[in-house]
Amino acid sequence: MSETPRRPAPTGPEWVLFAAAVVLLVALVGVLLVDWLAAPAEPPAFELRLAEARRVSDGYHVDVDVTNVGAAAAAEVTISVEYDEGGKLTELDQLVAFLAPDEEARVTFAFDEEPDPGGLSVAVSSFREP
Amino acid sequence: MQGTFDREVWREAVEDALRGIAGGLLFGVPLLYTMEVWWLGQTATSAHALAALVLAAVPLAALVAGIGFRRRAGMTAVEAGVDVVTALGLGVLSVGAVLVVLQRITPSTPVPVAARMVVFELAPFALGAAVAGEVFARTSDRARGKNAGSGAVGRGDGTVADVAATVMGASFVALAIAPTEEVPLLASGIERPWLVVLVGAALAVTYLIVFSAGFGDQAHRRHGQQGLLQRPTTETFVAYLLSLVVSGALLWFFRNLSSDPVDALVQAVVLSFPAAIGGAAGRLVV
Repeated sequence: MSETPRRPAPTGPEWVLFAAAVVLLVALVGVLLVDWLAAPAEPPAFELRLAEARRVSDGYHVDVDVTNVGAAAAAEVTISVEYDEGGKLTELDQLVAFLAPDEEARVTFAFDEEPDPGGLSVAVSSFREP
Repeated sequence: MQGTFDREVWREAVEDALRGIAGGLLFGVPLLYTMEVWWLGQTATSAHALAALVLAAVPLAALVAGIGFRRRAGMTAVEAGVDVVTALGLGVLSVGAVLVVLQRITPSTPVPVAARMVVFELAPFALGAAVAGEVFARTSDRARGKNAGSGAVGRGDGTVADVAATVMGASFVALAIAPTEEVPLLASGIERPWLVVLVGAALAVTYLIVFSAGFGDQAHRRHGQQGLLQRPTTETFVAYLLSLVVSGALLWFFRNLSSDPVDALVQAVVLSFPAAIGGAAGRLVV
């Protein structure tokens, strides 16, 4: 390389950039430290909300919102809906690939006829640690 | 007199920082388009991310001590420490900004998840910030020596060389990203107004790399080159359009381009960001 000047020790502006970098890194490390030390070792936990059925062109759709309210992420979260229609039991599953803590996903179940809300039940039937 | 001196010192410090950002993006952009690294933000623990941050700093410190993005010969430990911390800080700022532009980090992203995502994208960026000044200065020195030996290039030759270098550089970087699922995934997730931000970021970064970051023979590029595209703003815009075309062509080549014209354009814009950065790197060596 033709130009290799010997530059002086860090100048004023370089110290200013250094100070700004320190602030950013301290913030970054601080967030990670707090999350590491304060986060309880709790497994994933799920909150489910079942919406009312809505009519579509070829039947009825029921939305289910699932939120991971636990402290750990979950993968392959299976959401199962059971519909008891006068003794005839229908079971449907939907898979959510990944749910981080506090993350929410929506899945939709399709029915030919309008389901009676009293006959619907929803639960997370399985998941695995990512 | 003092004011003039201060301005010069500030200009040098800002140019160093811009060169660090440009170099970091040149090396780090492929990883910014890798979904497995985005997922690490969600799946890795914060303890793992802290360890990764420390590990990333080790090779960076070795590189900075050896060459340093400020090209300061015979550095002391304090000077090297200042450069390492500054390179990491530039990385946090730049990587975070790109993840926001790509909408991998949004207001709904939990802060620890965003912090972990930044950490895992940071390593190649910081290494790039440390080595790019040296690598591209050397490359440009070689190119300048070659040009000096062959005589001045004509106006048409300069334009053709720039177009060829842009297409080659854009293809070189975009080839590795075009066949992947990340492009349609990003295109489907990005809100339309953000595409303007993405195009603006591509234009700003490529201008920065070629004309403002102090790589190699920048003064020669600004004032000494001949060719139809040699005004910096014109060259930046035309080079971006070329990168956009290259992006669309590569997506089509790998059968990764949507059949819907609007979706196809969005996908090309998404890929044009790394492609434009590659094109800018290509023009540096002409």
